[in-house]
Parts: sequence; C-alpha cells; structure tokens
Amino acid sequence: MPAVEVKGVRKAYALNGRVVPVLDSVSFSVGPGEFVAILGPSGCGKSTLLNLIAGLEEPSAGTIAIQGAVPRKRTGLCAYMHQKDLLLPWRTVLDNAILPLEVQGVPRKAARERALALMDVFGLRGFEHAYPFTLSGGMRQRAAFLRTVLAGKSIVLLDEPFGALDALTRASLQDWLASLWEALRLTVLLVTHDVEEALFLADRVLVLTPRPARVRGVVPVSLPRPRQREMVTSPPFVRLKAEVFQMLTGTQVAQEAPP
Amino acid sequence: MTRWVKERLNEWWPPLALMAGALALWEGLAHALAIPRWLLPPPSAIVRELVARGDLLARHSWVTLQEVLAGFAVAFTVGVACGVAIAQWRVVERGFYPLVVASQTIPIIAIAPLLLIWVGYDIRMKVIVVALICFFPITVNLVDGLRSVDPDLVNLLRTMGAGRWKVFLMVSLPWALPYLFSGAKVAAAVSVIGAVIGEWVGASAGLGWLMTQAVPRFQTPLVFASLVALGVMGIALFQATALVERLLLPWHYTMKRQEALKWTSL
Ligand SMILES: Nc1ncnc2c1ncn2[C@@H]1O[C@H](COP(=O)(O)OP(=O)(O)O)[C@@H](O)[C@H]1O
Ligand SMILES: [Mg+2]
Repeated sequence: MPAVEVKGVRKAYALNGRVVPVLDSVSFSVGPGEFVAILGPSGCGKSTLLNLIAGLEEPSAGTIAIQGAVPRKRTGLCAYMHQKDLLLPWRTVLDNAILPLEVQGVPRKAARERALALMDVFGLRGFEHAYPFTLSGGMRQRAAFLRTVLAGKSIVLLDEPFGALDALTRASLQDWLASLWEALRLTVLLVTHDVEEALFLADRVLVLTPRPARVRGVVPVSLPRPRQREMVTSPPFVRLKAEVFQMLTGTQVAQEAPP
Repeated sequence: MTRWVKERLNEWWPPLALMAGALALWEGLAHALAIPRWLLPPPSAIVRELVARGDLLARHSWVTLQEVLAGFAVAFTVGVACGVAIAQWRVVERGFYPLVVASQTIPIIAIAPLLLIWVGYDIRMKVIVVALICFFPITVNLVDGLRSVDPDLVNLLRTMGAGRWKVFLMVSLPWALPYLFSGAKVAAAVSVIGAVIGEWVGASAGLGWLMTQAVPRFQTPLVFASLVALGVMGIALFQATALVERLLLPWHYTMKRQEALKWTSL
C-alpha cells in the first residue's frame, strides 16, 4: 500500500472571475519510507500540490489517499514544513519544537523531555531556551525540522525547506537531512526548484511541467546511500542532472562524455 | 540596577529638562508681569496648593480613580470579547464592526447627559462614560492584531490537526497580544478624560467635579492642582499598563529592544 497516492488531481482557482488552472490531472504515488522530490519551475503549482496532500485545501477533482484511506478530516495526517520557519516568536526553541505535541494533547513536561532528547541530533543543544529571533537562519530551520519530526508522523511534507538559506548553509543542511533521513527512513515528499538538491536527497524525482502542472516524468535516482557531498560531481550524478534538466526545460544540455 | 537607572535617566532627561525650562519661564513671567493668581497662578503657587489641599485632592482623586479603574476593566472585558467575536465570526464582523466604528462618531459629551437620565448620578454613569471611551481603542487594536496573523502560521497549526479554537488560543491570540496592549495603553491614557467628562455632567465628588466647583469661585490654583492630579493619574495608568505588558510579553519587549540595538550599534 502506498503511503501517499495522488490520483487525477486537478486544482483551479477563480481569480477575478477567471478560472486559473494550477494542477492539471496529477497522478503519482509514494511508497512507505521513500524519499520523493517534486521538481518544477517556480509558480507551477508545487506548493498547491503539497497543500492539497496536507489537507489544507481540497482538490477540484481527483483523490488523495494517505496510507490507503481518504478520510473526511484530512489535516493532521502528515507533518508539514514550510519554506518559512514559522517559529512562534513568543516561544523558545524548545517550546516551538513541542508545538505539534501540545496540539495532540501531550502534557508539556513529557513533550519537553522528548524534544530535549533530540537537541543534539538537530544541532540545537545549548539553544533550547533561546528565542527564535536570536538564532541564525540555519538554526531556525533546524528548529523547524525538529518540530516537524516531533509531530511523529510517518509522512513528512517539505516545501522548499532550504529556499530561504544561503548556498553554504543550504549545502550543510542538505547533508544533515540526508543522514537524518537515512537514520529515520520516513516517507518524505520534498518540493524544490533546485535540481541538484532533488537528486542529492531523493530516491525518485518527479518532474512537473510549468503551470498548469502535470507530471512530465519520473527519474529514479540510483545513487548509493549514504549520500556524500562529493557525489554531486560524479559522472552518474552529472548524467542524471542533464536528464532532469532536459525534462524540465525540454532542451538538451551539453553532457560530458563518460570516462 | 545602576545600568537601569542610567538608561531611565537617558530616556527621561529630555522631557524633564524641557518641562523644567517651561516651568521656570512660567514662574519668571508670572512674577515679572505680576499676573494675578486667579488668572494664571505660578507653578510655585500650584505646588503650595497641592500641599495645602493634599487631603481634599486625595479624597477626590480616589473617587475619580475608582471610576477610571472600573470603567477600564469593563471596557477591557467587553472589548476583548467583542474583538474575539469580530475576528472569529464573519457575521459578527459584517454586522457589528461597522456599528462599533460608527458609534465613535457620536461625541461622548453628548451621550453623558442621556446616561444621567438613564442611570442617575452615582458612580455607574461615570464608569459607563469611561468604558465607552476606552472600549474603542482596545477593540480596534485587538481586531487589527487578530487579522494580521500570518496565514501560513494558521495553516501550519491546521496541518498539526489543530481546530479553530486551538489555532486561536495557540497562535492568533498570542500574536495579537502586543496589539491589544497598544490599544490598552491608549485606553489608559484617555480613560481619565472619560471620568472628568462624566463628573462635569453630573457628580458630587471627583477631580472633575472639584474643578467645576473651583472655577466659578476663581480658585484657579485649585483648578491647576486638580489638573496636575489628573495628569499624574493618567501617566501612572499608562505606565502600569506598559509594565503589565512587559511582564506578560517579555519576548516582545526583548525583540523590540534587540531590533533597536541592531540599529544603534552600526
Ligand atoms: N489561493 C490562491 N488563489 C489564487 N491563485 C493561487 C492561490 N494559490 C496559488 N495560486 C496560484 O497558483 C500558482 C501556483 O502557485 P504555487 O503552488 O505556490 O507555486 P510553486 O510553489 O510551484 O511556486 C501561482 O501562479 C499562484 O498565483
Ligand atoms: Mg512554492
């Protein structure tokens, strides 16, 4: 049974009386424990797709099954992380992290203990009681990751989680996320417009067309795990990158001859 | 502690210096031009009046203070309830909110005599006038705050499975608290005006009433002494609200300070 199954999903918005189609019959499925990257040009409808899966909006047509079921209340089934860290400024790092547990009704004390046990893994030790506005962008994003993981869902939806970071911080967080995922093996759907990021992290890359989005193709990433930063310059990676670029833009990219 | 004193001094010396200068000028001119007491008493005469009539002023200040505190409390309770209802239900927003705004165009001074007919001379009339004046800034600021919540934040809570009221309690309300306090500070500052208007229209005690008694007798120093008492009361109420804000929202206070420091240290 797939963890997420999207079948014939369409979504259109009405804008000043005009109907704007955003998703045009999107279908795909994600297996349990799989890391799938959704890649597409900006504005093609990636966030819309993720919001539909998260249950924040309803599709105009089609169905979205989570763990084989299509429940009436669709929110609260997947952990969700936005491009913005969305940390509450009035809560410390620790109390931000336990937010989903509080929503679920876990007593504060027990929730805090669970969060404290993970502070090292998320590189937040020593900053438990700091307010978000005192932290760097990378640390804030890690705090948001901790909050996402503490939601305790087996399906995690990430909407350009590194989009707002500088290149160096982004690379180091990608390395960190790769090893974190290799340890936790959650089902992850990562939305990104960065080809390298998609290939570096995912098992499969789903390439979308410009708006209205359809699935243009799926690229399996058969790179070995654990993934290492050096891989991004290896011939197989470069070949995949060319293939994905071609699929994204519909043009041929100059490819190095394999040695 | 010493740093705190230094910072307060830094903050307070310009207004204090300005006031001291103005008072000195006033004092000098009053003597130089031999202005009669009943027309414009010099500051020294007002201070003497404050001391000599201390008991009288304290008694009437206490009456006014009670009206102000009760009125503020009523306005705060009703204002928060209305603000929450306006922000949570579109029906209330569309039906009630325009009326709240429109009601502000009716001058309080015109309503006060009606209240006199309806509820009489006792403290209730003054409490209602104060509440009417304080209600608006509290409600409007709270509604603005609740409306300005980042929708992405609301969506985040929804993905966690939070319902409408959990979202409200965990995100919207804390988000709007700094706005609520802005409104409460404005309300605290104008609350004294409400009490004085109420007392002018119908009362038998209070600083406003004391002024209405002193004016026809040309007891101008007493009028000024009452004004000083009213001013002190207004400032104290404002500062008390600011203090509660700082205690309840330490994160907001430090964030604002940190931002200010970022700018000055460059
Ligand atoms: N609530 C909405 N109402 C109207 N149009 C919307 C709404 N949300 C998104 N859109 C439109 O849908 C398109 C896709 O948006 P989005 O999913 O955010 O793209 P992406 O995440 O791929 O950059 C955009 O052109 C945007 O203007
Ligand atoms: Mg997006």
